[in-house]
Order: sequence, then C-alpha cells, then structure tokens
Amino acid sequence: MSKFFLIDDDVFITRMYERVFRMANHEIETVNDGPEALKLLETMNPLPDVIALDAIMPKMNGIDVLQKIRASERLKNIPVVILTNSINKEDAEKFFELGANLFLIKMEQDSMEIVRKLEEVLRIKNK
Amino acid sequence: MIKLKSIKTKLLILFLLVGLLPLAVWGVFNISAARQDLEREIANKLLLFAEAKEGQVYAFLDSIKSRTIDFSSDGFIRDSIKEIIKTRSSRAVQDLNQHLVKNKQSLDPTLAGILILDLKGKVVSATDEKEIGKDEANDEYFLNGQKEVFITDDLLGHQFIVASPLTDKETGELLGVLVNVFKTEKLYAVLSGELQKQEGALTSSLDQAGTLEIYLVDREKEMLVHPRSTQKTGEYYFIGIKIDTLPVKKCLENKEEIATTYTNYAQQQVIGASMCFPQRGWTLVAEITTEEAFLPIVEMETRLGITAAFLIVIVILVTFLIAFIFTRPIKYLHEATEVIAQGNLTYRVNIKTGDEIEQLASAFNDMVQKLEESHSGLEEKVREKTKELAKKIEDIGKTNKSLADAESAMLNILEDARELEKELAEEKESVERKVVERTRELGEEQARLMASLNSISFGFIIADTTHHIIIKNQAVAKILGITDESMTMVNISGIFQGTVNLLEQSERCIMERRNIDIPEIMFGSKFLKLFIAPIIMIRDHNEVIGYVLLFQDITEAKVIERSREEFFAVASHELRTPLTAIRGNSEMIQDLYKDKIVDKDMAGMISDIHEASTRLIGIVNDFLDVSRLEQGKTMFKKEPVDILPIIRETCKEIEPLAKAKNLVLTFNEPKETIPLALTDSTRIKQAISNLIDNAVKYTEKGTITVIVEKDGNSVAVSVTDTGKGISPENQSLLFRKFQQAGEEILTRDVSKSTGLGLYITKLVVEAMGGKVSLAKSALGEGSTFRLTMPIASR
Repeated sequence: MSKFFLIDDDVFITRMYERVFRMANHEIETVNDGPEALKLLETMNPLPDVIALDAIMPKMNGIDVLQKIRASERLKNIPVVILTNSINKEDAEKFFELGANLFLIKMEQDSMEIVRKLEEVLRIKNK
Repeated sequence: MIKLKSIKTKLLILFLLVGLLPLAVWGVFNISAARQDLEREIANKLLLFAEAKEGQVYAFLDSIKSRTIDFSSDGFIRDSIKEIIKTRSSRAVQDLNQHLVKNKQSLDPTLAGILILDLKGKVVSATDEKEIGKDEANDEYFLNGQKEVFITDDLLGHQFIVASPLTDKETGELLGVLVNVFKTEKLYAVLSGELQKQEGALTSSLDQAGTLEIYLVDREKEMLVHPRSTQKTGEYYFIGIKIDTLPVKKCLENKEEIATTYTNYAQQQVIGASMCFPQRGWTLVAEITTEEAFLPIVEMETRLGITAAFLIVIVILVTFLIAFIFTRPIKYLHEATEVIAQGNLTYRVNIKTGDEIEQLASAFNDMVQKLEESHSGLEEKVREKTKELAKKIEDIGKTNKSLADAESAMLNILEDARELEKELAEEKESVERKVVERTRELGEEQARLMASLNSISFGFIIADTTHHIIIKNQAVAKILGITDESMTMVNISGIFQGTVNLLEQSERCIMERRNIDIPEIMFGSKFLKLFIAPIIMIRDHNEVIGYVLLFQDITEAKVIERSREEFFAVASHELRTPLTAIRGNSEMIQDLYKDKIVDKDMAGMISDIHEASTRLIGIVNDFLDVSRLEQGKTMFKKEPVDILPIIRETCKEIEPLAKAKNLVLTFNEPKETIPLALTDSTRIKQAISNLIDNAVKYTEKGTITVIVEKDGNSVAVSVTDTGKGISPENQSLLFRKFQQAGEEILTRDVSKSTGLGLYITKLVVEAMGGKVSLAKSALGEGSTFRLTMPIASR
C-alpha cells in the first residue's frame, strides 16, 4: 500500500480517483486547489509516495505548484505526475523541464490504467 | 669557417661517403649474420642442455622408483603387514613403524615419509604415526599403486609420491600398497646442476649464464619445479605460476620439442629449448634472455662505433689539409679580380705552385694584359661617335619643318567638322520637343496608376535592383508608420531588424528569380504578411530589373485565429474533465459492481452512459485533432517506414469487426518489393486504419481488399470494398469537414461517425506529402479509396 496525493480543482475528478485508488488498495488524499495542497504538504506526515497534479487550476496553476514542490527541501524528491486534459505538448515539455516525472492525459487512459502508471512511477523511483 | 657551398664542405661529404658507407654496410651485414649464427648456436646448446637435463630427470625418477620397489620386496615389511591385517596387533604396527623409520627412511635424506596402506586404502603403518588410520582409498596413488609402481605427476606439497604394490612372497597375493614420499629438493638440485657438481660430473658452459633458467611445467601449464625457488629464496615462490608460453603449448599440443626465440612467463624475450615428458604431461624448459645471449653482438656494435668515430676524425683532418692546399691560390686569384674590377689594370698575380693553378694564374695575367690594351683603344672610338651624333641633330631640325606643314592641313578639317555639328543641334531640338510631349503623356498614366495603387489597402513598393524605391503607395506609410521622406529600403529593412532581413530577402528574390512569401511577422503590435516578387522584363532577355514588395496587415485575421485556438483549448479542457468523470465512474460501476446490479434496465442504462461518454470523448478528440491539424500544430516525423507490417497489423486489428459483420477482409501481399515510405508510422497507421474501418462500417456484405504497390515516386495503398458505392455528386464532397456522404447512398450508421474521419485522413496524409483520393466508385458496385506517400530516397 502506497500513499498518493491528488491535486485537482475538479471535484468530479478527485472524488472519482479517491474511489479508484482505494479500490486498488492504496491510501489517497485529495485537495482541490494549489495553495491548500502546499499548506497540507507542509505538515503532512508521512509524506505521500507520489503526487498527482492537475495542470490547469484557478487559484494557482500546476506549473507554479510544481515549482514550489521542487524548490522545497522536504518535498523535492517526491515523484510528481501531471494529470491533465490539456493537449498542448509544449506544456508537457515545460513540466518536464521543471522536474515532472510523467505527463498523462486523463481522457486517454481509463482509470485503472492511471493507477497502474502511478504505481510504475513509484516502482522506478524506488529502484 | 665552413660555408655550405665551399669546396671544403663538398670534399668532406665526398670523403665521408666513400669512407663510411662501406663500413656501415659491412657492419650491418656482419652484425645481423653474427646475430643469427649466435642465436642458432645458443638454441642448439640449450637443446643439448635440455636433453641432458631430461635424461637426468628420467634417471632421478628411475632412482626413486627403484628405491620404492626395493622397499616393497623387504621381507620384514611383507611379514608384518600380513600379521597386522590378520591380528590387528598394535605391537606389530609399532614394530613396523620403527622398522620404517630406522632402517628405511634413514637410507635417504630426501625421503620425507613412508606409508603402508591396506587393501581398503587405509593407512596401517607410517613413519609419521599421525598418518595411521587415514583413509586414502580414493587417492590416485592408491588406485594405481595396487597394479604397478606409480609416480604422481603433480607435486602436492612439493613432494613426489611413489606407490608400489606389496605382495606375498610365496603366493604373490596382493597385500597392500607401499607409499614413499620424496622431497622435491633433489629434483631441484638435478635441474640446477648442483647435484652433478657435487658428484663431480661434467657441467655445461651454460651453467655460467646468469639468466639461465631451467624448470619443469605440468600439464595444467603451471610451474612444477624451479630450482631457484629453494636455492635462493628458500621459499616456493615460483611454484604454481602460470606458464602459457610457446614451448609449453607446443609440447602439450603436438609433443613437439623446440629451440627458438619467444617471450617467456616473465614477459622477457628469451632463447629457449624444451623437452617433453609425454606420459607425465611435463615440459622441461631451458631458457636464457636474448639480452644476455646477444651480449657479444653488443660488444661488436660498440667496436664498430668506435672505428667509425676514428674514421670520421681522420676524414675531417684530411679534408681540411687538402682544402687548404687547393683553395689558397684560388683565393689569391679572386682577390686579383676584385682589384682589376676596380680599374687597376696594371695589377698581376704571382702564384708559383707549379701545377694547373699556376697555369691558370699566368693565363689570367695574359688576359688582364689584353684588357689593358683594348681599354686604351676605346677612348678613340668615343671621339668618333660624338661627331656622328652632331650630324644627326642637324637632320632632326629639317624634319621639324615638314611637321609644321601638316598642322595647317589639320586646321582645315576641323572647320568642316564645326559645320556638321550645327546641323546636328537643329535635329536634336526637334527630338526634345517630342520627348516633352511623351513625358506629359507618361505623367498622366503614372498618376492614374498611383491613384489606383493608393486605393488598395496593401502596402505596395516597386524598387530597382539597387533597392532604390521607384514607386510606393500611401498604405506603406500607414502600415509601417514612417514618413514618405525617410522611406528608403534601408530604413524599411531597419524597421524589421531582428525579425526578418528584408534587404537580404529582396536580394534572394532577384538572384533566384522567384517569389518570396513571408506569411507572418510581428511588427509592434501588428502582424504583417510580406510578399516579394521579381520584375522580369521578358523583352530584354528576361532580365530582372527590380522587385515588387507587398505588405498586408493581417492583425485582425490573427486575432480571430487566436481566439479560435483559445476556444478550442478551453473547450477541450472544459468538455474533457466532466466526460472523464462520467466515463471513469460508469466504467467502475460496470467493473466492480456487476454483481450488485440485478436490474437489467439499470445495467443497460449504465452501459449506455459508458458507451455514450466514450463516443463523446472520441468526438471531442476528433474535433481537437482537426483543430490542431488545421493550425499546423501537429508534429509529424518523417522517417523511412516499411509500410507492410503496418498494414498487416491494422488488418489484424479490424478483422474481428469485419467477422462480426460476416465480411471478408484480405490484404493481398505484394509480389514486388515495396520501397520504404517517408512518413510518420503512427500517423500513417491512423490514416490507413481509418480507410479500412470506413470500408468495414459501410459495407453490408462481400469483401474488403487491401493492396499496396509502388507507383512512380510513391507507395500507394488501396482499399476496395463491395459496398453500395458513392454517387458522382457526393464524391466531390467526400473529403470536406463534417461531411457525411448521405444516407441515401451509404447505409451509414450516423451514431458511429463524426463526419470528420476522411477529413482528418486527408489532413494527415497531405501534411506528410501524400495524397488520399476516391480512386473509383460506382453505385451498387463498391468503392476504392487510395492513399499515397512519398518514397524515402536513399
């Protein structure tokens, strides 16, 4: 069992993945905006094994959240997977430059596949 | 001083060549011959030496063998062993041990120990009591020693083990095995020659050589015996090291004994000889380093060098002496010529060497004598010549007079020319009048042209080949925001600095005689489209006389395009998110709560929700695909692709769909070789898949046939179906956006199509430099769609 942390402004998405990850026997915590996510991460214990991050969010977008995570001594080694429905490949490159581990388009995967890919990211990291 | 080109230098070189060259040739030849002879001689000596050592080793082996046989026939030992086997009396054992130590081991200081084994391989008696009771049943020497006398091949613990059968004196029955353990020291002494010296036997002259090594190597190519290991170091340093050298290899592979030069185990160049012990797998090697072997050659070389040095010194001395004798008179002669050259014709040389040089000096003196005489004759000649000159000057005075006559004739001709000039001036006046009239007409024409140019919204400039602006309209100033006065091509080009080099582009347009289209450049907050076309005068041998430059303000069009892009981006995100949730949740219900949904209608409804959301996602994806393709935002790879496996795979994927409709889907494998296509493998698969998928969708019965062929510079894929065909009026609309071919022609399942499939296929294929078309279609007979892609050039 691993711990996942999902940041997505859409409650449909967070609720759905809460169910999916729980069914896959994982611990999952979700939050619907960037500042709240960063606040939670500051005190979260234990830290999540993988962070899944939406690219487009109202208060603070994914790029800014990722930058904050990578700048933090405490959080910088946690793998971050970008989950988005934006299809702009240039965006993907920007995220990779900032240290994202994977870029997934939500609509192109079915939900169990997303779980498998996040597990894979964790497996590679632990290697 | 030695000058490079002096006689001295030349003589020196000559003498050195004559003296030293033969010496060098002779030296090199002799040394190499001597070296070969020496190598052969030493190799032969080593071979003889090794042979002698081989004999000595055999003799040593024989001696320890006969010693063991001798022991085995000892009556006391035979009787004791019989008793021990029968009674197991410890007393008998003790007696026998005593006997072995006192009467046997003492015979030979190199005898390390004696063991007696019974027929089970157990030690029953030994010089060392600790050995008694040990089980040696599986040891080589026990197994072999029951049959005959046996000597071990490898020297475990630096000992030779020799085993002999013990038999009953009367019956000849086998009682056990007698084992003698010999120290190897004696063999070291044999190899080193120490033993022979002690015994006063003859030793070889080679024993004196410092680098001589003689050793035995076992069949595992490991050092077995090396005399130096005990003689000097007292340790077994050499033993067991790997000896993978030429003689060992030859001996183990071909049983060949050699005497030659090679690299030994210590990576030294050596001359060596080998002897083989084929039954034991041993190689005896005797070797000496080439460095030591060739010491006489080195001495010879040193002597030759000293001789050469002496010779050089002598040659130099002789050269200086000869040069001194020959060059001194020549130097006098040289000094004399310099004095005479300065005008002193009375100077004479005085050389009395009595040889050819003296003759040369007297001839020189004669010559100077003649020179002195002819010099005095010359002064007379000068006086005569001066007289002749005075006469010539007089003649020139006469010629001048006739020149003055010619001048007056010239003046007459000039007057005629002036009259002609007047006539020409009159003619010119009438031409000028005509020119003025024509210019006025041209002015009116130009005004009309300018009025029409000024009425268009494009910026319009005509410039000549030196970038001098000839015509411009008002829109140029308006679009670029500069005044008419400062409008030169250099200034305009300056405005665009950093985005496009306008002068360079214009230059290219003139040079390459072709249009240049710059579809979009930023200019402040505006977007401009630029177009440069060369002006070619067909009348004047197609000469390029300048260019036309057009600016179009496309800012508004860009704004519209951009807002459309934004719309798509937003729409994609906003539509995709809830759709993902609908699909994801309905999928989970179906996957994980199947058992809980008992109601058939409810299951149907959930299935419909899932299917509808899946289809809707497909539609959104198609829309976005189109949007990106239209904006040219989709990236295509262009690489050589083998199209055959892609078609096979696609057919395999669609096959189940065709089977479900009872259709036959076949791919006719081509007989000819299909070249590689230059395309994007993922994208081309999408296009081919789309065509086959359509054919399956819109055919109710019959077959779908896929063929691939080479067509000129293209690879062509055709998909033929036996559907209802497409009417001519619908054919032209087929590849348009959102086009549906019409239900009256194709029995089409509208719910399964967005009407974008063929349009996307067309955009994809064309973006990769190919074409897609309806090759033929007849109502009621079916259709053939055809797709091409360029061949990858090698």
